[in-house]
Amino acid sequence: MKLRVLSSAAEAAITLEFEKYPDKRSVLLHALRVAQQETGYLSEEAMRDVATLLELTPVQVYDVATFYTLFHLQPVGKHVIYACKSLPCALVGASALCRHIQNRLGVGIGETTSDNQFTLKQTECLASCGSGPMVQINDNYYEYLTPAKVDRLLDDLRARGKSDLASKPFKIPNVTGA
Amino acid sequence: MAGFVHLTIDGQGIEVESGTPLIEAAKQAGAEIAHFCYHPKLKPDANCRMCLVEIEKMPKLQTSCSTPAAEGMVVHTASNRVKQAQEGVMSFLLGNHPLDCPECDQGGECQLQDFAHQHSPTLSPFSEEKRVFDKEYFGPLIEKEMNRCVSCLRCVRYCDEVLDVNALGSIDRGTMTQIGGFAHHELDCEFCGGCIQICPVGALTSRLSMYDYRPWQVKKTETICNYCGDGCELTLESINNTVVRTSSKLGTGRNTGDLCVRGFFGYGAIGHKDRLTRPMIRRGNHRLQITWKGAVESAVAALKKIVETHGPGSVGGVISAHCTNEEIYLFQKLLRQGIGTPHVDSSTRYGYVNAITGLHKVFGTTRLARYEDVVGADVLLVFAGEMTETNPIAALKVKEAVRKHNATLIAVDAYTKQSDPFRSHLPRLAKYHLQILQGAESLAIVGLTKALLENPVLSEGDFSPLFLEQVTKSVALFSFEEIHAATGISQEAFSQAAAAYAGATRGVLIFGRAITGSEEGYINVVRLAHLAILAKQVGRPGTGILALASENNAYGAIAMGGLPEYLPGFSPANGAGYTLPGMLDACERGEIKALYLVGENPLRSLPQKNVQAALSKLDLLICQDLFLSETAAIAHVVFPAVSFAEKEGRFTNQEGEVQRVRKAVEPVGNAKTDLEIFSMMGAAIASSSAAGVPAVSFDYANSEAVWREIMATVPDGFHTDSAEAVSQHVAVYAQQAIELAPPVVISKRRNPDEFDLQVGQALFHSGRMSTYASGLTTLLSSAIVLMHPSDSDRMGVEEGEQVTLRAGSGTVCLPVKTSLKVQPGTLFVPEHFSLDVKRLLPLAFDPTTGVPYSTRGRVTVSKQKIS
Ligand code: SF4
Ligand code: SF4
Ligand code: SF4
Ligand code: FES
Ligand code: FES
Repeated sequence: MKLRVLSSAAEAAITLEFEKYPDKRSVLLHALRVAQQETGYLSEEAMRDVATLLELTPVQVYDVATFYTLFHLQPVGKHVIYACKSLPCALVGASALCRHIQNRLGVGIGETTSDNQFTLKQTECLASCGSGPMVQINDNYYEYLTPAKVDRLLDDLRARGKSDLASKPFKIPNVTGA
Repeated sequence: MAGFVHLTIDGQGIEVESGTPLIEAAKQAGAEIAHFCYHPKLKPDANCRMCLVEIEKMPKLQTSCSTPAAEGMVVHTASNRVKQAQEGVMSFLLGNHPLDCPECDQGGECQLQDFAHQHSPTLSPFSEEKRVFDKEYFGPLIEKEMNRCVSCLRCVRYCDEVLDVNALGSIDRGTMTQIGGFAHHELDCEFCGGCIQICPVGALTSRLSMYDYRPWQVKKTETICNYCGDGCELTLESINNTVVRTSSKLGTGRNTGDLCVRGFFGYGAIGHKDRLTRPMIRRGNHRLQITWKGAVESAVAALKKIVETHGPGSVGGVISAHCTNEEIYLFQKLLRQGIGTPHVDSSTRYGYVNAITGLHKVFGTTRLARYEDVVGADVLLVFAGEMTETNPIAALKVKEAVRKHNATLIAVDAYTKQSDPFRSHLPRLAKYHLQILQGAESLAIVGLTKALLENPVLSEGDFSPLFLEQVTKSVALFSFEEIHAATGISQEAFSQAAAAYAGATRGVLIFGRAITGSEEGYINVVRLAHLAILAKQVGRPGTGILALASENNAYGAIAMGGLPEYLPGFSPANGAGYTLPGMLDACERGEIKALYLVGENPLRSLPQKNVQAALSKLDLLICQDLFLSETAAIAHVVFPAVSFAEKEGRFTNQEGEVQRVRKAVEPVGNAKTDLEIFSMMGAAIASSSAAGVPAVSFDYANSEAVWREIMATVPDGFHTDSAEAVSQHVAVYAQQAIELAPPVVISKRRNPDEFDLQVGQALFHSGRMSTYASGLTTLLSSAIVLMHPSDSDRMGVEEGEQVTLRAGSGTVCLPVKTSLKVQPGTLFVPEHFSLDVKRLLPLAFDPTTGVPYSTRGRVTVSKQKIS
């Protein structure tokens, strides 16, 4: 079957999973992740390719792709910011912080800066409620944020591609004292 | 099998089958539980939370749609807790709903309106803004108004579970979840209208009838669809004598409330502006409109003269199998008894007659399987890859058997296993798909039979030695290697499929036009009958054979004697009558001088034959039709007839089910029913018949009077034949000598420019009639050629680009539509539009039944030069 945009490597990475599941549809999330990794975002062609491989109709793929904020249906910048908007973060100033990010970057929610550095998305709770307001940027968390911290981390990312404000890997505290 | 459980609902004790959802149990106890996402056709989804009930000993309220009734349950459907919960759900729904009932087409038949009336709190606790969706369209026929959607997903689930099309998804997320197609594009689906009918609110409605009606203003008439042999019950809804909408009632009819695109969107042909409204006669090169009296008198005078000079055998008649039983009965009576000619035929001659005569010969009946048998089968052997297109609702039964009840589907056809997005396709559901080369049906049947005979376990049985010997001999001519070369199917694949079919507890065989309307049609039906006998899948309850019919009353046309082989009730005629092609030859020879065509248009259906020359030799050509067809345009007399919506009577569907057709609207203009016209003709003929000739009465008050006469003439004509009767008939048949001509081997394609061309039915159309329905022409209005993408890529042809099809000296240019369904190397062209493409195909006739075969051939394809 001829694919439109996905490479044969991506195809192999997807079809390799088939045997692990009772049906091909179960591989959908994995397939979308592979497709996004390869092409940067889920274009219509990429989703059609996934549909072809999994023997689904394109809308069955689209249905799932639009449900997850981690999937991008538009090209995104180098750094994707997911700003938490759920209640605990909202109580400690998430909305104001998000507005600050928008002003600072000059983009609205869902938009990408003209230099393709940043895309801003809003998302529901990221399970870091005790340390809000917080955002996730690519694979890192940034917590206890203030406008000043946001400015600094955006500058860092733009200049060096990383920032030491990123939270360290989380360890489960040893509460038993053992 | 299923036991019963006892429970108490609102204080009332009740017994229901175990497994019944509480919502249905409550209905039986007289309590209607408000619901949105529940629908009896669909698996429970329990997403709307409207149907909550209180069950004693369960701490939380339960959704009654997904909770099965259990022994000893005590259920309350209207307690305060329940009421409060339902009001809560209602507040959420209404909090977002635009409350635009005055301009909503669903108003008056909306579940939200109805349940809001009972369950809504008077005051809403919400003051938030309502969600507002951008306006989008779902294509030309379906109106999408997402602000009204209650997110019950009934539409998505129907399109998946029942249709197997999966054109809809629940897209985007959270508050802004909506129902949509891929990437918000317009729909490109089978347009069955099922999502419109199953939507509880006005989120999906028909654009074809927007703002045309309020549900309580329409007159509803329950009748039978006239677009194919499936025999679906549908409701014609009319205002001021105009059909404004069709619908169907859940669970009713042979279709159990499902319809296809033709049934749902195809009503536009009924009141079309081009309908004939007055009788006409030809004077020189002109057609003159005249009165009925004048037209009938002039037709009968001309007929009388011809009969006097040349004898009654110089008259022939052909009737369309779209007419009612009563009409077809009367037509053959008019010809056989009124005029005295044996030359009567019907449009079943285009193929269906092969099914009936073949099955009748072997089994003594053709009523061998019903839809219930299809749904209940554990193995289905289907020689009809195009079934979704030709018989969409019968195809739903196959889908139901496979998807709901895990039946094993064996599909034998010349299509690929793949489907195009948003189109269902039976081979896709097949466990065994024998993808044969085009035209290799006969050898595929031989292959299956041979595999069956060689399987010692399966072939043992109580067969007559003579029968076994003859069948064995008939398949011995070819080795499996030769069969493989000709069909593309290996011995192993045949063996597996044959073992699956013969191993069935309830095996049902289905075949359609690929068998009946293609070369070797008659003999292939007989071969399939033998296969079913050998596999022991006929003559036992639950097993059987279903022959698909393209025309709504094909079975009836034959049962009513609308063909030279049979008189009414399948009693054999004396064999002197001509078939349709035979009549055309007789016209050409000057033997037939007068031809009476009812809804028949041979100039269109047989473009390869020199029909024009044959008809021009006639002294009298009478055409009775809804529209001025190509043939009617050259007729001496034209009678304007009426559509199925304007008359009473009965159609018999392909299962042999006789169903009532009811009049929804008055005839257009001065058009009359075929029944009235035949009565007038009959009366005029009788009154003019010579003294001494006993006059036959054509005096009927209505179609009921005709029906009573039919029932008196052929009391057994419609009775289901019992399994024992079938077995007895088979036993007698098996003692006789059987003639089985060897199957024809199709030559291989020689080079990559050569393609196998199949002309056939498209889903969106049925014959010519549907091309007058604007709803259907919106979807497809001119010919296209389907080509596999691997071929279009190889040839460098873009979607929509014109290609030239060539055969012999003829050429036709058509735009390409790529499709995954057609095999590489084959092409498909819908038959409803261009006559030219049929002229490329060879015309052959069945040696037994005279059926004209002209739907397959070989063409070369080239990219059209841009000049
Ligand atoms: S095929 Fe089309 S019309 Fe039919 S249910 Fe699916 S989306 Fe609706
Ligand atoms: S469109 Fe209708 S059927 Fe579909 S989810 Fe919305 S309300 Fe339910
Ligand atoms: S065309 Fe056939 S399948 Fe479709 S609604 Fe009419 S009878 Fe039913
Ligand atoms: S609310 Fe923001 S992380 Fe949970
Ligand atoms: S009808 Fe039961 S939850 Fe929707």
